[in-house]
Amino acid sequence: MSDNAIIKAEALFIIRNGTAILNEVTTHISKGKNTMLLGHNGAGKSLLLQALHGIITPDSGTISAPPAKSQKMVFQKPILLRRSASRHFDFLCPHLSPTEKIHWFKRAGLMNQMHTPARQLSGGEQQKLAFIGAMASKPDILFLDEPSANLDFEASAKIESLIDHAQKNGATIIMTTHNLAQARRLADHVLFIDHGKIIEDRSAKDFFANPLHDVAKSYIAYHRA
Amino acid sequence: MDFWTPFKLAFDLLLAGNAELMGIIGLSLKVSLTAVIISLVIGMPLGAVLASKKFFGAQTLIVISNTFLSMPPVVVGLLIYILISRSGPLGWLDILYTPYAMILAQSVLVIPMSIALSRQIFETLNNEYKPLFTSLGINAIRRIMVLVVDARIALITIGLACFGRAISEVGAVIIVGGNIRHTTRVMTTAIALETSKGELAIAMALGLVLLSIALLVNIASQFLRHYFKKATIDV
Amino acid sequence: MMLQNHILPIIAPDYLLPFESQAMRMFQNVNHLIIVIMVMASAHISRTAFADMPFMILQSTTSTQNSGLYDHLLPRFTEQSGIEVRVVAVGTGQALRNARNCDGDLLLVHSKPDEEDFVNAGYGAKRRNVMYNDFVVVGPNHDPAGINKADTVAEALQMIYAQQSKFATRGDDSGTHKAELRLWQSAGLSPDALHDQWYLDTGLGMGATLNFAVQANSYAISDRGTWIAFANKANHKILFESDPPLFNQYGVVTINAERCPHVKQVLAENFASWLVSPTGQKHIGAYRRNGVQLFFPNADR
Repeated sequence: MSDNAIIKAEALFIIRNGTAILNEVTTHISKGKNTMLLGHNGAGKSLLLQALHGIITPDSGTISAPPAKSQKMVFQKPILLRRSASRHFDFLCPHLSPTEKIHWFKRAGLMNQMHTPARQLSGGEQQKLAFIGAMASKPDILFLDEPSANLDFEASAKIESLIDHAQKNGATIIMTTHNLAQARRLADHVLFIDHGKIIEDRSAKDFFANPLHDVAKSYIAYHRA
Repeated sequence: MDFWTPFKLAFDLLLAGNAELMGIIGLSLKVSLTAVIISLVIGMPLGAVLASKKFFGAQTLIVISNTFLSMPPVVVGLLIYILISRSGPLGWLDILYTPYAMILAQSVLVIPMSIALSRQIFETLNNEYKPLFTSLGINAIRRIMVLVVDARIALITIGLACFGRAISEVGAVIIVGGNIRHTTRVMTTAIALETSKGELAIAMALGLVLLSIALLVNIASQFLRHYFKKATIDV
Repeated sequence: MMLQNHILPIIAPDYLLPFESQAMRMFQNVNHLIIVIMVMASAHISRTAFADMPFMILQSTTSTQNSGLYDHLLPRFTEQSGIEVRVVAVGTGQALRNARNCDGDLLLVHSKPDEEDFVNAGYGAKRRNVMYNDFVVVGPNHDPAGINKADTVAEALQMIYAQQSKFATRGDDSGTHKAELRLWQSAGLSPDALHDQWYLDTGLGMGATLNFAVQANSYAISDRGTWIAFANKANHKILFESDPPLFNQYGVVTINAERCPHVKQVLAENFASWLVSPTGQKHIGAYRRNGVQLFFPNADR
């Protein structure tokens, strides 16, 4: 597995107010796979995601990863500029041709919203916009923080098809979710996090078939989809 | 002078389109509006820089800039006079007793305000955008450009505050302008002059005119803000 | 071109892109408006600041200006000579300081000792008498110190001092203030604001001091011109006048061109000689305010 690792994290620590909210995290993310981070709220999933992406610097530990330009992140609550959807997209992907841009907007079903102020879009539309903004630059790694949270079924399905499409084109996906059905559908690999530690680091198939820890077991049971 | 005399006077003066008054109003607006534009052009990017970069002297600069907020206009006027006086380092510019000197003085007066106010707004914006900026690996200059563009409606509020300080000050423009009739006389210096002549009713009337101008400017900005409200920050 | 390629994108990046939101389009228009205003403003300012006519700066005092003399005199000079005279009216001390800094082309004040010092020190070139008026002592109608009955100004001041009646002094080193101090001295008195509670030091110009004196019901010394023209007399009036020590001489001083190479020597000399010429002197004498002659021409001939 290690020679196929696109990100290697060794002994990551993040300490706040005397507690380790990321506690000696070591893992290798496989290239081209969909790695799913699961865990309770506050376990540290988003934190780990952001650390791996490089927008939070751990207090100690090392991360080796490809250059920042080839990684893109979609935040749980999209961060949008105060501009039209079209202009925001231009900001995210400055080197795209107008034709390509139209292609992405069509794909996301956002053609009619092109000139709407980005912040006036509905939650689902905002998320889709953030998505195509991240995917259009064809990143090697896509970080997704709860991409379907607060989305209706239709929008959620659309997002999943976009994720699938990206992965088919060679991108590595690292994401978090609380939707176990979605996790089962999309994940190749699972990292289960509890209180800042990775307690399970296995293939998705193995994890769902046979979770090892009680915490994981009760989590799956609780979120029975 | 009864209470209503200034109001009647103000009305009559404006209605008659008194040429000298119109000239004074025009010059007041030109000087102060230009000073505001200059202060926005200089102050907003500086505010953006101070809000986003944590460089070594930043705290010092912020403290100094904020102190200048309390600078009395007459002191600013004195400083500029010392600079542009014939016997001063910038005497060769030959702008003393011209509207250019007045614009310079008011700009200096008002730039700290635009830096302080815009820094506030940019700090909020920057904190919101930071994860996205970091994720995209955007360099400092581009970040500042994004902040300045996105806070464009803040321009209006900041501009208004700066305009208020500029149009109402008398200490700076009277020293560097000289209150010369038809050349460097503005509303505030005219009010000062009429007061010193004991012409209190006229002075009050001019004061009312000044207030009405300020009112108009505020109304216009309110419309602008309202029009843009949906796309931007609620300031 | 520079505007379009570099500056506009910063304030309205949309300008160059085909896709724009409605708001952006409107903002673009506002941008245009701002630029248009700026251009208009600078064009117009150029017109006002740099008139076609040659001009010179006259450093003079507030009292001279407030009397209205310049509004009467200058248009006549401009018509005759085609030269615009721009008056910067400040306190005498400031006028002298400005002239020392070479920030004026000509000086017209009423403090002969200071004017002569100015020339002797090498700042001024030549000093000439122009006109005189007089100072008057104004006070509240009921004249608490009874100075109306005094024979000399020294006596009047002594009465005020004895009664400790309120007296407003300018305290600003102006020609009027210095004259006032000389008058106290000649009366053998030296009141000071710190110990004499009735001696009120305003530190203000003539008009402002009069405003104060009227409000505070106090005496004050003013030049006649300012007083006649003063519009807020309320219950005050002239209570003592016409004693020779109250004589107030105005002088015009040209600036030493060796010290101040940028001074507009020719224009200044033009105006100065006009002031002392028969024409100028006639116009000075002809000026009336409320029917009263305020200045008496007395150039040396």
